[in-house]
Amino acid sequence: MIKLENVSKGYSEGKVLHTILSGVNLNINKGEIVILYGKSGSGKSTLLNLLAGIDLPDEGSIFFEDVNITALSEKERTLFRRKRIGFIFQFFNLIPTLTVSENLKLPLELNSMPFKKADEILGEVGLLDRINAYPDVLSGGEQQRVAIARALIHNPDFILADEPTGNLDFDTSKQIIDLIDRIVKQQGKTMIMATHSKDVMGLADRVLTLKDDKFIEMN
Amino acid sequence: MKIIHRSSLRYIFKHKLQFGLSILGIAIGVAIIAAIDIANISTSKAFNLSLNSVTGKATHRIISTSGSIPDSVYSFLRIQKGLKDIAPVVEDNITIGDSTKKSFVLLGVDVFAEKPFRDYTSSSGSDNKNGFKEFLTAKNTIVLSAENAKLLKKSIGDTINASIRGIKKKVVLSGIINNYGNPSQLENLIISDIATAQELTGKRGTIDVIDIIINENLKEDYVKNILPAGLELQRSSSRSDIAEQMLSAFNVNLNALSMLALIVGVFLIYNTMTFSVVQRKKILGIYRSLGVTENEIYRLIISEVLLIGFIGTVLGFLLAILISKNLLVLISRTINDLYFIVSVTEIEVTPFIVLKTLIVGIAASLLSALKPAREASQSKPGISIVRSNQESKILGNIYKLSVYGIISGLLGAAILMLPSKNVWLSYVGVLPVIIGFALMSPLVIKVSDKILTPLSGKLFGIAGRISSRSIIQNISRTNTAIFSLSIAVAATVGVGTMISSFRETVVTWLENGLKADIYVSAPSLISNSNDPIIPYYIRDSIINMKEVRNINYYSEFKLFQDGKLINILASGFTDPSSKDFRLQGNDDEKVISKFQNGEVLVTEPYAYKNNIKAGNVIQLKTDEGYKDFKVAGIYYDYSSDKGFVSIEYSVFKKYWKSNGLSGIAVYLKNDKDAETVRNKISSFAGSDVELIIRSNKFLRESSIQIFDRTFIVAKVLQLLSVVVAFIGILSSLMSLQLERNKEMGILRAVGFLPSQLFKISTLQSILMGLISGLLSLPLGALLAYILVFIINKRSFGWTMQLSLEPRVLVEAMVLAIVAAVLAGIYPGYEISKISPSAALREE
Ligand SMILES: Nc1ncnc2c1ncn2[C@@H]1O[C@H](COP(=O)(O)OP(=O)(O)O)[C@@H](O)[C@H]1O
Ligand SMILES: [Mg+2]
Repeated sequence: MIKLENVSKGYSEGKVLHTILSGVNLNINKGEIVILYGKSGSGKSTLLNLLAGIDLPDEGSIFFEDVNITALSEKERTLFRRKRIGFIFQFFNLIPTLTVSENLKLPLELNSMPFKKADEILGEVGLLDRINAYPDVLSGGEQQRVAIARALIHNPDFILADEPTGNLDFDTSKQIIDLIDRIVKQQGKTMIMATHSKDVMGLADRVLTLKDDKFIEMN
Repeated sequence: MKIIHRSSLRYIFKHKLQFGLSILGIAIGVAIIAAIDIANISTSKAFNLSLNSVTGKATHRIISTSGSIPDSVYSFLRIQKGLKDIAPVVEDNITIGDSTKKSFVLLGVDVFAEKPFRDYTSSSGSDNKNGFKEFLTAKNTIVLSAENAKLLKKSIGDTINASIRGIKKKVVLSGIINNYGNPSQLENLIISDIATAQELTGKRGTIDVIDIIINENLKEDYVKNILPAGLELQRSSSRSDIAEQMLSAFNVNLNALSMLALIVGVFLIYNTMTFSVVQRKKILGIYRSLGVTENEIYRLIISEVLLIGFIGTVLGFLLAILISKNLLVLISRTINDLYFIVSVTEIEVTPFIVLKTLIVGIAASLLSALKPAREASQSKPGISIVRSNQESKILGNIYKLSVYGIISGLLGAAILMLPSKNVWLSYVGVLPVIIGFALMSPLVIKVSDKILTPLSGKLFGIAGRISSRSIIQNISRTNTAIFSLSIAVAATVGVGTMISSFRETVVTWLENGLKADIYVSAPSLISNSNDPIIPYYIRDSIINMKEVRNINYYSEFKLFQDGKLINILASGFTDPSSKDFRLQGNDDEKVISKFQNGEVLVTEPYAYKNNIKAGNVIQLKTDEGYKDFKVAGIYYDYSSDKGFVSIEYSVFKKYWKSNGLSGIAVYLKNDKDAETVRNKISSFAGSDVELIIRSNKFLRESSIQIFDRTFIVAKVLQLLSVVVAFIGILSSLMSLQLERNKEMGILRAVGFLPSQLFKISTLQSILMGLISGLLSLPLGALLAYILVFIINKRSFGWTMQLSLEPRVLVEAMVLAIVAAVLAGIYPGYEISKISPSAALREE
């Protein structure tokens, strides 16, 4: 379970402070799929980055179960992320100098886990035949399927997805959503996904949206 | 291998040219340093080897302050004092050969006394075909190493022409030494019986050295006490110490200059690594989001640099071995011109050089990667505006950087002004000055942008504006390129000006100092040093010639005094008005009259190294023991940095025995023809005395020739640093081109022609060259000033006139622009080939 207590975040542009989030309180239960909905520039990625420990809030605390990640050192946060979190991006973000299978093995290696899971999960996302290809020859949908596999391969408890379909056409988006739905639900992971399109709402247990710099329940 | 390392390797392979150029840059920088080291160590090793083969197992040597020891001293020590482990030696330079000639050290030994000393002179140490037995029965016999016999195409029994102390002789090869340890030990050596050597060198009745072994049975103090007056007991090693001292300033400067290219190389790697990090910001960000720690990223970049640095260093070392042979020729020629005779044929690669090269190459690479590695470790996922971040970081800090630059420059100035004579310290002071300029360069670029952008816009329209603007827009990239080029060009200005100032000073000095019509000197193997071997009768005959107005004459000799070498110049003249000293200060007349009354003059390098001022007293060891001499004045002498003490000839004769003259300067009566007099002198010298008789013009020209030869190495090193800078700017322009693919693709899409893109790119190169050139001029002038007035003074003690020629500055400007334009051709060609669709598709 994830808990945000009074989390605030802003960016200073020159001398002007630009508040994005202020006093956000949230509880996300284990196994829940939560969607952050809002237009571009509203602060979804900002929140995901805070959750991933990539950025720190200006105020407030973020708990993953008992761990207050805002109190951890940079290195501890990185190690926490390495083990417990899987990240899916809008622009896929595969490493262009690594093959599909190497991209998948990277989290396994970082967590000192055996490599054999790579083939299995590629089968699950239906890309066994592209195992030795470099990302630049894959289509967008294929790349995102590899990225999903990479986010899940080391068996993290939490999946963060930042507009995973934002860069894909309608049909491909649908496939990706089905895939996420199938795997994430099946494995009972906790997932937080940012999106600005309504098409993916069906997936969610809860939908949150931003109002007055706070995320509130949407209905 | 870890997966992220695999990814790094693939990235490097994908940018082969970029990283290849970095490797090449480091390789050249490292190669120069290692080659200079190899050449220096090989030279000193060869010198010591030949010294060791002369010295043998002798721990000490007995020498005479005046150069020769009567035979009787040897028998006195051996028979009366019962010293057993002593051996007499006659040592001189000799040239032998018919079609092929070679110079050697002739070592005259007493075969019966030799056993404890030199094993190659006894058949136990070598297979010498019993050549030494012949010594006792046959006249003028010598023994050579098998290698030398082969080189000269001689076999046992052959008669060979020889020239020794200017006199032609014939010698017979009576033995060949085969299979003796290290053949290069005997490379410079001819061995003969001591009586033969005395005969050949005209030293009948005297020996040069008595070798001696000092141990528990024979104490140093005891030997000192029984030595007759005028003799000194010296450690055998003091000869190589003295040689090392002579070369130390020469070597320090060579070493410092050899680092120039590596410094430029460091900027090159810095540039490549920064580029590769910026280009991979996104990948690095993904790593971070997957949980790779900052430290791991830092180490990843460092490991990439270690790989590049290692490959570059190894390549550089191989390159060093290739070029060190050529360098060795240049360096040993200069040492032979200026200091002492050494013949080096083998290059010597010691573990020390290997280790030092590895450390230097890898440390330089690491140093240049520290900042890019730190930047890499701070990559964050999702931030795509990094580049412009970096640009605005530099632009925002321009004034702060400039202030730091000024502080750094002042720090350098403070170090340079420390009242020290240490040469290394002055090079240490140069570094902050260069760094200071580096920090100022963004400001120069900004100012240039203000002027150049409107200007090139006016001249070349939109394309012109784009060319100029993009220099400042990509300042994080262009800055290092511009700056490394300008250091290399500034070094060219500095070293070039130093050389031309030096040359100018020497030419003026020669013009004022060389006024005689004819110069007679003894043949010598060292260009700027002559043994005193011209018989006195030659001087006397010259004075008596009706064509001659007056003459100056001198003897040069070495005084070994308390382990130190003092060069004495005994100088006589028939008319004080023709004295050829260029004295410091204005009362020449008074100083010269003091000199004639027994005071001495010292050269500027001597005064500088020994802290001597006019009026000081120096102590010299004469044949009658130590005597005090007052220093009447200091005179300029650019012929050698050895330093001389000059004594009036009759005073000199009072205190030291002398054998002859080193040179005679002849002033003719007004209407007399030099050529006729020359022929006359050489005719009464006879056919068996070899004299070198040179006209004023010829001597001046050959002095300048030696001077120019001395600086060939410096010029080569300086040129190589320009090569590295060229590679640097090529690599930067290629990075820029890769990064601007998209921008250029857009230009193509809106209708620019490939040729227009090429023009933009070339114009940009020209502008960058121009800015580099502008930046290099003040830095170059400053470096010239430091080299001439601080580094040169501390190294050699010479006062020189700075001559900063406009030609040098114009050349620097042209060099900077040409280098930049040449480097821009390939990247410009690549830019013009950009396919707009492909460039735009790239995310
Ligand atoms: N590193 C940053 N520095 C300054 N402003 C930022 C930074 N990251 C995000 N922002 C600003 O914060 C706001 C929210 O951005 P973001 O969370 O990316 O929105 P979303 O993901 O909902 O599109 C935007 O106005 C954006 O400009
Ligand atoms: Mg976003």
